[in-house]
Amino acid sequence: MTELKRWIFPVLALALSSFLLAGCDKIPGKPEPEEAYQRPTEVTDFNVLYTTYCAGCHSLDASKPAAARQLNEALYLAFAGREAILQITEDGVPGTTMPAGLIDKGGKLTEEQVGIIVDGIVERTPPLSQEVTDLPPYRAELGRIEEGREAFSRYCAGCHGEDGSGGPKAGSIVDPAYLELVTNQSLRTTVVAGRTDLGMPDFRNMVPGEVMSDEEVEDVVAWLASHREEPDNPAQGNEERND
Amino acid sequence: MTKQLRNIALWLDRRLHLSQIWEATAGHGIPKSSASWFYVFGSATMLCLGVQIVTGICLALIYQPSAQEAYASLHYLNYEQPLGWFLRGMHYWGSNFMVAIMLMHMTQVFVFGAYKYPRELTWVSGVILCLLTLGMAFTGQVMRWDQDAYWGLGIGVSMLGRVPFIGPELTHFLMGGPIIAGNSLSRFFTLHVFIIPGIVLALLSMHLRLVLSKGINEAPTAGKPVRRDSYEEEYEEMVHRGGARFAPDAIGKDLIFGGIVLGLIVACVLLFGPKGPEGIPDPTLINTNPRPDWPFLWFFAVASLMPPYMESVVLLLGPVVAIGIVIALPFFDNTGEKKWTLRPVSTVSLILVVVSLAAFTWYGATSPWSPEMDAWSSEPTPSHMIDGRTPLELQGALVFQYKQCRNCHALDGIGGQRGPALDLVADRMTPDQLVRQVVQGSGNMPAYGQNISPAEVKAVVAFLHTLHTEGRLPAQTALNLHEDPEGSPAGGDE
Ligand code: HEC
Ligand code: HEC
Ligand code: HEC
Repeated sequence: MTELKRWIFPVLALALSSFLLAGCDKIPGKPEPEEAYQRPTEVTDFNVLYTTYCAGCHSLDASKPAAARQLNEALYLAFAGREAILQITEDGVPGTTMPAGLIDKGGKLTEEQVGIIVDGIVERTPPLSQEVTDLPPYRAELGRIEEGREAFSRYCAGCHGEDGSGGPKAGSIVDPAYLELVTNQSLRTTVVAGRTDLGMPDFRNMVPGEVMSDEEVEDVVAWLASHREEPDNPAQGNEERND
Repeated sequence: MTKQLRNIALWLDRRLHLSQIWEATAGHGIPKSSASWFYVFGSATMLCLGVQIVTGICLALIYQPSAQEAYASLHYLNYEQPLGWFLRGMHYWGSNFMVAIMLMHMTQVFVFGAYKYPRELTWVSGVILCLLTLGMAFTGQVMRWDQDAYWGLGIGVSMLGRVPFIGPELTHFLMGGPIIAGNSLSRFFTLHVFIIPGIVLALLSMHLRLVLSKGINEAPTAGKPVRRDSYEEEYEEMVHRGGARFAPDAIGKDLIFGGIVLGLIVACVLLFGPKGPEGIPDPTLINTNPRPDWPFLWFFAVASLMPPYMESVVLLLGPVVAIGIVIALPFFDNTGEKKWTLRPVSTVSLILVVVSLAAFTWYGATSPWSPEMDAWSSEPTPSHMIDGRTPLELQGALVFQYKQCRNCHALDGIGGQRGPALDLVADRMTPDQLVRQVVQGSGNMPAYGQNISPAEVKAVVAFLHTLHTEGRLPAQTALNLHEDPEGSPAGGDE
């Protein structure tokens, strides 16, 4: 019985103070509405959306490059424009590893969410440091292969090697397997906007003091594309998506 | 005045037999050795049941057992109803403590040999109460009607479906349809608030009645085995000479322990709060990593570790055999020593069971059940695996993301844990072996075969081949780097 008296008070005090505590606001166990589960299609926060759906392949920070291109570069935005970025984010790039975003197209995003992502990327892009007047258009036909070879040795061979199969500063870009996995549009984007996050300059800085002309860009891409082999597996294409 | 009150009280007592009832129940005689701290778990389990009944009734005032409204009503409780979260928390933690303390109670009864003659039916009713309590915990987690619940039910359904002959009908009966749907929730609600609690209360009265009529077990002494012809006399002796009464002699410890348990439940609610709900169940949302509540973790761990060919037999027969053995225990171990030191087989079995349950629970709680569904699009390839890579290797890193290898394989510690981390995979695998692994798969790794193009294989293998210890050459095929004996799709083409 004495034992009981010794215990009963602390236990009661604990229970009572717990109840009192339950009335106040800063209790670790009390759930907060912000932490409540959100359906994936209800998420509207750019950072959450971007880190969930894009960050795996595209970085927003040149010091931490990811495998696909950084998206918030001034020159890239000026070159591609919001419309093209929106369309690619919605539809993906069939035949490559760039997935479709929109739910209708097999992705996971609503139209509103794609809009939030694209606007967020645009907002996070710094302004161009100087005006670029001679920027080639985003889309263009392929140019002439022979002239492309010349442009290549002029602008690219210093890094990618004389025949494009790898040089002192960069790897092969004529490997058929590589070419099979990228579109001509992305080759064009790489030539114009570079991969500055990886140390590949843009079209104005390939060779100091020389800016690539529209034709030279078209020709180089045509020459690269001419190294593509017929795909061994024709089934590989649009329907080859795995999510 | 006092005299009058006393007369009224006496009158009432004579009419209602209150003090006799008290004498016969709370005041029942017990062996002195039973007034110990080892005997508090049964009453604490009952206390938890009380908490569950009270908080459960309160929850039922708000909770809507329909697929459309269940989630919203829990949301309302969590965020709008003042202290609604506390109520949910009490019910959740009350159930956790109830299961935990019930298991301690069972362990104590087993260690003290209390199931032996003449208390066989006390044990049997207790085992059934234990199963029913687990049933309450299971149906209770379904009430959250979130992804965990859905997933737990899914496993339940796939088990039921394996029952020979009547599997589909059984599933239909329990789920209210061929699949898990709104009907399933109403069925489980009925089970959770009417059927199982009804049986629990009925069986509990029987359990308590038996405790009174067969007496509480004495703390065993070595060298005093149970004999069918003499035990009851000896017990009578223990209780009447030198015995004690439950109230007031032993009840103090039960009250103190009960108070501690209540305090702990409240503390857990304040610290950790209620659980979930984790979001509306929706089979199309696969980017989740659901887990059942802890009492069932071990079971799901066993199910996931088992080779597929054993599954049907073990999942169906396992529980039947295990429960059969536990129920039959007092019948094949009816008399003899009660002291655990003199029952080596029982003691060792208990330790084995406890250790393996604990290990499986731990595995269930920490193991990566399912791949990490978002890793492929959310976790960048670590920058140091990008630096200085060729364009083909970069494409390989992209294929590694796009083909969702990352969902099962971590790089730099980030990503799924289903498969081994591949940070240094080139130290141990040659390009040929890598090709084979991707195309043919092995163990729990799917064969990509037709779902990956030769160029993609080539790229991803080129990328993986760069993942080796710095300053060390990656593993190579001994004879010729570019020869591919299998003629696999990524065969060298330069
Ligand atoms: C699995 C990797 C992967 C993920 C995830 C991914 N991308 Fe891409 N993305 C690529 C690749 C590869 C390309 C280049 C495709 C090509 O060859 O044309 C690309 C290209 C693009 C381009 C066009 C670049 C150009 O050439 O102009 C845009 C814009 C883009 N991605 C936006 C996004 C956005 C926004 C997200 C998130 C919603 C996203 N990507 C998620 C891999 C990915
Ligand atoms: C200053 C050196 C340099 C020059 C000049 C250069 N590149 Fe690159 N390029 C790189 C680097 C670095 C990479 C990153 C991959 C690597 O390290 O191999 C790269 C990558 C590429 C890629 C692959 C990008 C991707 O994301 O898949 C292409 C295509 C490419 N370069 C084309 C060209 C073309 C065409 C030219 C000439 C117009 C050119 N490069 C000029 C350094 C250079
Ligand atoms: C569903 C999960 C899953 C996915 C998706 C997956 N793997 Fe695996 N992977 C595993 C498991 C599990 C193992 C271990 C296989 C075994 O035990 O035989 C493994 C083993 C491997 C190994 C051998 C590692 C070693 O050290 O033995 C390589 C290499 C590998 N996977 C590469 C890939 C690549 C590349 C992809 C994408 C094309 C991929 N995996 C996709 C689960 C997965």
